[in-house]
Amino acid sequence: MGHIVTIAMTLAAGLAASQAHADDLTKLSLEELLSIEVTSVAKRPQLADEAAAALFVITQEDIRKTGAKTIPELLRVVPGLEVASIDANNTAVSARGFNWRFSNKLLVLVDGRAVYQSLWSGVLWDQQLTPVEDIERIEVVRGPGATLYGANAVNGVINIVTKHAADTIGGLADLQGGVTTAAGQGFGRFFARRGGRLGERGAFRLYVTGNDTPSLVDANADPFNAGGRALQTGFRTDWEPNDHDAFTLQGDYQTLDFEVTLTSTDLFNLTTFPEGTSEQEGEGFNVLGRWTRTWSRNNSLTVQTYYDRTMRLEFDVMTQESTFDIDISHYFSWDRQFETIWGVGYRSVDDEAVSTGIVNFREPAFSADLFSAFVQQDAFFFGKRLRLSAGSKFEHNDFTGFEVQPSFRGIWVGDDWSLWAAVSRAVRTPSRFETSLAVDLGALDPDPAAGRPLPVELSLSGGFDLEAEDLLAFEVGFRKSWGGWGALDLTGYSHRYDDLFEIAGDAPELRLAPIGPGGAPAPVALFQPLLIANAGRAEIHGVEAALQLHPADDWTVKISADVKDIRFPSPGIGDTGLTRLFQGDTPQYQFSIRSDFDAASNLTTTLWLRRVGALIQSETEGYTDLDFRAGYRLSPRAEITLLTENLLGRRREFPSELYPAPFGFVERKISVSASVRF
Amino acid sequence: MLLSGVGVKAHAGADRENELKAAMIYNFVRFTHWPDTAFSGSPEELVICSPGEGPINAALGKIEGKRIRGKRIVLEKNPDAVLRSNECRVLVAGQALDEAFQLRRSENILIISVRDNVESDLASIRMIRVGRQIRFAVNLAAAKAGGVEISSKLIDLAVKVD
Repeated sequence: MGHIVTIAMTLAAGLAASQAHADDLTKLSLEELLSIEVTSVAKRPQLADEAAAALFVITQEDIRKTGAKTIPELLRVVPGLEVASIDANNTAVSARGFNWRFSNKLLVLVDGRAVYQSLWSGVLWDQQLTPVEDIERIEVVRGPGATLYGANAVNGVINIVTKHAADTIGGLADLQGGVTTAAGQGFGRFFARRGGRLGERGAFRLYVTGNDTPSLVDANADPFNAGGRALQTGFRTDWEPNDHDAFTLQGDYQTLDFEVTLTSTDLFNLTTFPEGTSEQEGEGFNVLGRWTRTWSRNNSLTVQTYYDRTMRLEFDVMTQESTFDIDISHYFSWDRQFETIWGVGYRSVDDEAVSTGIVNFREPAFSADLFSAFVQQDAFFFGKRLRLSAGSKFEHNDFTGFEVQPSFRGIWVGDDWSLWAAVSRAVRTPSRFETSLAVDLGALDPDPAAGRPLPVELSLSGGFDLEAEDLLAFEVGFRKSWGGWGALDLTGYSHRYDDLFEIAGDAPELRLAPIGPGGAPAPVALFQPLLIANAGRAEIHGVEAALQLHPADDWTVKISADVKDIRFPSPGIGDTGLTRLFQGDTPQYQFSIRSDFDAASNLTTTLWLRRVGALIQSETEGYTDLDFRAGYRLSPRAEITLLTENLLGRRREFPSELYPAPFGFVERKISVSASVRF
Repeated sequence: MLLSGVGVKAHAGADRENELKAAMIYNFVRFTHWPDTAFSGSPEELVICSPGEGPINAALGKIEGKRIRGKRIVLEKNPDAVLRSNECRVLVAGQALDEAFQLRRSENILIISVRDNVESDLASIRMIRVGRQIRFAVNLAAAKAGGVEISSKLIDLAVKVD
């Protein structure tokens, strides 16, 4: 439902205080002013600083200042968010732990279109190619957002909002080329966009973008493979025929190919995956339509529908997932003290998984329906300084049936500070992968010394009757601002998880063969079935902090840090080498300090230092990153940017837990990009 | 930081539009640089000339008296005074666009066209309305001719740079 109500509008409870800001529009920045619609029914701007949730917004300023060209790179600016490269194409992104290739507790949307794959319970980040040049902002909530967004918005929600077509009139082209050291791999990216007006009431844009991504390297600085290449094209049209109706139609098509290299030792210490480098593919397209009707300032309705198809060929498993979704939501306020938002939705997901190799699905095709409804009621007290909010999502899905996900939030807004608290429940529903997986893992050789006199044959299968994973979250937050020159944002949380998926052993069976005396049956092997079960519990407690300082007009310093304590009371299955595959990994702490300094009116610089602590589960070493960017404006229409990443040398960020891929190093990168407006 | 929010307060559409345009003009002034000599007459003031009784002027009245870089914003609405004045640092051209340009073309002046969708070589900044959205375009040649410097911040946010 993210499209209908942005995260801020709904989780944000700070309407009361924003009243004062918004009545005097000169208190808003120009960027903020540009996001206001001008009609008799203009929506009131709302300040993200006054949300009763751990909300962070990536602005266009962040996009310009970091020089990031991909969404995962951009997400590294968010305090408390965990972003790590697994290989050339795959990135692990999560909030508050449980990070891995398929971070299954983080919901991601692009303009309200869910890009979380229900087949794999996660996001294919290399297929999220929305150009950064077209992004208006990215809203990131750490912590549950399930009351509005539904299942899988457990540890966080990321909503990528693209620009209105009116913002992209004219042409823009950007070309980037770079090299890694020491391997000397070339990489690059291009982007071109053309937008225009459609009469007085509409606008459109078309774009095309492509990239060439370098491979990670081994300890000798030799690249594993040739990396990846991707191409995406798309459009957006906005049409506002009168002051009451707004229509948006948008779509994208993408294709990518990339190489993956496997080593002989896999996750299970068994040789099941073929060694060597192979070519993989991805393809996707989507189309989305939205209609908003605004009868008055107190009453508006949004209808949104989309179709999305994502295809991927990876390790001889060809998967396709098609999603059709329609959501309707209605906002109204009454008596100057109450606001209600409610809605209903339907989603159908059809998938197909064709395997010729190791990973098989019990049912090669599956269709699932999801019915949902939500309601959230907000009320203001004490001259709107206190805002209380209660609501719940009600969903029915084909895997776990009926799910209820309520939350209660409150915020008190003082003159230059605010204090908020929230209690919420969220669930993570099983994926197709987890319910109908069937993998023959091979056999462990006999090892009498380890108490294994016979070979042990292992198979892993999905859970037939899995329940949803369950979170109960308690959060508190405090914000304080010191006029124009500083702001502090602190959040503390306690998350309690139940029914977490783990790989559990079922009853073992002896394999017999007629090899005994006189052909009598004798044991030749032990067959150990493994299945995915609701076997785990966990507790995570943590603190996230962000401090922004603005010592001079041309200088901004942003500091952030997070630290967490994670506990799994139930032991994993250590002896087979199986980790908590579905629960990922997390750094114990992270720290970041970034300085944006405008050295001259046509020269901007950014120096950014980050420290990421060691990963707790896999005991992967931590690393320190230093990036430097300088942007020089040659003319009002042309700018060139120098970007040096990972200045302190190569590092390893995150092991591949899904496949036996070598744990590669991210190299130092130097690139130059040029952008021209026309 | 600001995100789309919920409708709260009643505004006639035109009033809201003009308030928004006035707030944008305030920001345009923040990100425009004049040579110091432009303020030699009255160093403490920054005069915005918006001749006539166009609907924008009621909204501009709300930014009068605010300070930008220590200078107090003064609004001059009297067409005759605008014609005689050497102090206009900003000329807001509303409905009477052509007349406004004839009235005054002095040194160091930022001309802002607030009338919807009018192409003009004289305006350094012109507002563009697309449906419910208000955006702006920057004309650098016009700014140069007017003797003002528009900061890169405005250029970044402009939907069009001429």
